[in-house]
Amino acid sequence: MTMNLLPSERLAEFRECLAAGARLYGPVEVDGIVLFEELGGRPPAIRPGNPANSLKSFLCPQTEAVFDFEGGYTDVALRVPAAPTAQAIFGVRPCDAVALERVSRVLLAEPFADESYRQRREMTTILTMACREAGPHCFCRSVGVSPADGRGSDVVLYPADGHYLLEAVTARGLSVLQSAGAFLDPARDEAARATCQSTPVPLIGAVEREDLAARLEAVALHPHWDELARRCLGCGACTFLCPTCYCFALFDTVRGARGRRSRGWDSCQFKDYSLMAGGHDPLPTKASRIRRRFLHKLSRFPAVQGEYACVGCGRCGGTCPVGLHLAGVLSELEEVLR
Amino acid sequence: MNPLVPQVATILAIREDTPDVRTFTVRPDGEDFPPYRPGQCAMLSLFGVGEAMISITSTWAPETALEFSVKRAGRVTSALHQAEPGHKVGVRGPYGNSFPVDQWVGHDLLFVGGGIGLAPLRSVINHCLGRRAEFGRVDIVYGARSPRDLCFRQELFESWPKVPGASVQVTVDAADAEWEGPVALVPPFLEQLKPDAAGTFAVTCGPPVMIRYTLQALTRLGFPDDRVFTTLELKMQCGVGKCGRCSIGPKYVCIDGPVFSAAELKSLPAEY
Amino acid sequence: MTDRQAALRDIAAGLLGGGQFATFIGFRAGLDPSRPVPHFVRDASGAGALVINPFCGAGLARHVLEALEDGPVGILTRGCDGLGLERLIADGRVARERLHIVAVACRGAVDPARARAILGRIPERAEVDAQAVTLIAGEERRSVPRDSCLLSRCLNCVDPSPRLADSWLDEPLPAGVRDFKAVSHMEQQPPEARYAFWARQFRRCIRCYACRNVCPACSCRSCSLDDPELQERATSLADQFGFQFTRAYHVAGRCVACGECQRACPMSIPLSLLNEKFLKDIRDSFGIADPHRPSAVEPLACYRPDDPESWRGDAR
Ligand SMILES: Cc1cc2nc3c(=O)[nH]c(=O)nc-3n(C[C@H](O)[C@H](O)[C@H](O)COP(=O)(O)OP(=O)(O)OC[C@H]3O[C@@H](n4cnc5c(N)ncnc54)[C@H](O)[C@@H]3O)c2cc1C
Ligand code: SF4
Ligand code: SF4
Ligand code: SF4
Ligand code: SF4
Ligand code: FES
Repeated sequence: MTMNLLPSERLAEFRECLAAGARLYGPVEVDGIVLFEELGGRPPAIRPGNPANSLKSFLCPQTEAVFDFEGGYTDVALRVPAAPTAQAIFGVRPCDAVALERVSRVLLAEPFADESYRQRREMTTILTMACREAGPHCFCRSVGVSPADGRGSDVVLYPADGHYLLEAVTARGLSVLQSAGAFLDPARDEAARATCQSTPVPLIGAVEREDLAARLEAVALHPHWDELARRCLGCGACTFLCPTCYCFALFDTVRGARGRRSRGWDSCQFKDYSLMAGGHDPLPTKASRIRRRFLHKLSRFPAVQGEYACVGCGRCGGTCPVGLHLAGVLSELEEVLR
Repeated sequence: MNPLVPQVATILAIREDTPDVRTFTVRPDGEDFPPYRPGQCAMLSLFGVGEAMISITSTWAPETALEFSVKRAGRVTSALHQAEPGHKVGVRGPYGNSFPVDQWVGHDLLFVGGGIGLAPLRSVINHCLGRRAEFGRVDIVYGARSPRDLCFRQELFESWPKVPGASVQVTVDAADAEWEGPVALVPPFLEQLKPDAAGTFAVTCGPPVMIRYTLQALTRLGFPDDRVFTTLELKMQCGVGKCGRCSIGPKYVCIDGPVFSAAELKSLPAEY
Repeated sequence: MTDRQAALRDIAAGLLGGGQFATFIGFRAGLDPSRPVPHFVRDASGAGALVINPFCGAGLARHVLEALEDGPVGILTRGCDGLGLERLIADGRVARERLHIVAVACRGAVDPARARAILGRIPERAEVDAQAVTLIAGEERRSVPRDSCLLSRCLNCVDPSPRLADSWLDEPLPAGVRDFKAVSHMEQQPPEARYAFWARQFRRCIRCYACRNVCPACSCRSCSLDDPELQERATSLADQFGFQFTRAYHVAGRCVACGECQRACPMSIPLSLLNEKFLKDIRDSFGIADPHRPSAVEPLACYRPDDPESWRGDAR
């Protein structure tokens, strides 16, 4: 794959060149927190770890129209939304890019590929900043992701002193590097990548990679889930912010003769997630829903897809108001088993 | 094409089967609905209300309309019960796997239905009866809460019993003044009938409790798990394996089901 | 510090050992030392895991609602937890006699995210006093001003000790008077600046409703936000304002200023500021000195037949 060096002082120009043909998003600091937002010329806030929101906001937006309709009982016309325009996301962490690859396995699966996701994915360029320093709640390595991972990215930037090593991972990435050729130096710096590959990741000790699925299934009915349920608020913040959670709901809204069917994020942590007409609910308790979240991520998704539905991004570690995050719960389960 | 966008379709006819079940005959306004197999479902929707997954109870033939038997249960299904012929609905599908009919060729068939559960069975029964020569005996056992709640009466009492080598046994949980037939819950009624398990495939569909006890009864009657089929019902939103809603263990009921053999069911976690 | 912790464990073990209490709610260590987690002790032997330290941030009051389903509850209670319990009691959701309140005086809880930003790594311990906070990790000790790293609710706190108590772990600290400085400052901004500020805040709301789920004043058995008709958690700015105002109005007059909504909000939206605006208006309009403390007179939470305005405000 093509490698180039970008001198650090030319990073801003490189970004400008990205913004030329696309809306450019990246991490920015807003009122003290770091969020992915449209950069609009602001300098990106590249910090260890991840912004509060994930790329999901731009690839499967929280709410989006599936179609609009207009008419009455006996005549209805549907209108599908306009195709998305090009976007580029700068300063993505490797785990987030891998998360897109994980979610794509489900959303792009044929024969019913999710068309709006597919279009957005095709119009999105992912420019990843490999990690020289991990965030406080990161544990990527224990779920098979590396701080220098290139999966899901178009271009990976490996930071080094005074410059970045740029690697084009996809054909789209290659064309980005070609269009930015003026700033790039064809030299290589293998050490930049090696450094990121060996970045220490703080919480890996808490999550055993070997046999995770089997170990979890073995404790699926342990009373500790009830203890977790007492603590959990059922707010679903963990799943809304998680880059690998993809559950959504469909709903209709009407104003007079016009209306819209939309899709929007949903969460298995919500109490009526699986409640059926007539009152039957296969996940009737908070404990059963928490178990579902962990088993889905670490056992059931991997059973089909061969990879975890968790990339160790650490968001749940920083956001769950009661500390019920993936690494924490796994370490608690190990503890109660001992 | 976005799989979540339905075809606009017109309700051609509505039949009132029971106080809370109506059968809708529906035809897409544009392109024909794709060919479907017995046991498959479709997302039926009212614009402005929402969608519901409904079994296609008709049997596919070129250029025929779709039939859906809908029980009034919640928002969408209640609103459908308010609809009239000529009204527009959305329809997308067909979704899900189907009954493995070809695997049954040369065998006797036993269908055990309860309530609205006869809707998916009806499509497979009519499909098999359409290929009558390929199967042995076809025995149909059906029950509903009361005589008023029996669906598909015309077929139950007139067409199916007339088919050579077919039998229909109907029971109700509670009789009314006119009812002269058996009064029993489906599972014990089935056990009394003592169907011959040897060389027979059994298919059951109905409310969750009925399915549970029917599966147990079939086991006691000697049906091996790989010759018993049923359908699972889980809440659905997308119907196409994306929204996560209907997952059970590693399977999605909307694409990997709704038809499962009793053997497959046993390998899934008891979250249904 | 450790004395209080030992006393807490003894009391909890005693309550659970006595057989009358089903649960004791406190904190225990989490995977991250700066984020202890709410802990639900179910038998006397589990009391040894209880901890008290300046990182104990989560509000505990709301958790009694579910815990009471299993039987009477003992609960570690700071000033803010106490106000939350008073709220639940005043709203008829919790019976006072089914609680054993173990009161502790609180000098403020450390915000783990801010503390880490200051130290550059996760602090292992912290010491909080009236002047400063000391963050400790390994050999490193760093003293910083309180307002640099305490939870924002703690900076405005005037109720360090609860008003209700069955046992005390230490001496109560005196209560103060809210000054509404931040609200006053906001009120002085021109409308465009206020609008721009709130638009920037509300725009990032992800509509998870964690703010509702933690709130001791937001404890309705079924919430209209869960109605299928309102399933759409649309995130246009107009919808965001609609949701935020609805939430704030629903707790106006009953909010106890415990700051849990803001602490729980994964998007760090300053919800307390909005709540404080209502509190200040209640103080100014109705002459109630401490509108955040549940009391016999709650102007927005009572109905009087002789009220000059009908409740819909449209007819006399
Ligand atoms: C594979 C399958 C086949 C089905 N076939 C039939 C049939 O032939 N005839 C029939 O009357 N009913 C059938 N059902 C049940 C039917 O889908 C529900 O009764 C219907 O979705 C209820 O929707 P509602 O809006 O009226 O109820 P509400 O409770 O208001 O529904 C809220 C939402 O939950 C979903 N939902 C609620 N209950 C169910 C449920 N039991 N199954 C799936 N989604 C649900 C709905 O799609 C809707 O989006 C079938 C269900 C499945 C899963
Ligand atoms: S685990 Fe935490 S973030 Fe997730 S629903 Fe429970 S309380 Fe909310
Ligand atoms: S479960 Fe937690 S750590 Fe894993 S991907 Fe989701 S938010 Fe990140
Ligand atoms: S963890 Fe829950 S919300 Fe997330 S993808 Fe899995 S089922 Fe959906
Ligand atoms: S907790 Fe924050 S992000 Fe969640 S709904 Fe409330 S204000 Fe919005
Ligand atoms: S209904 Fe969406 S995954 Fe099955």
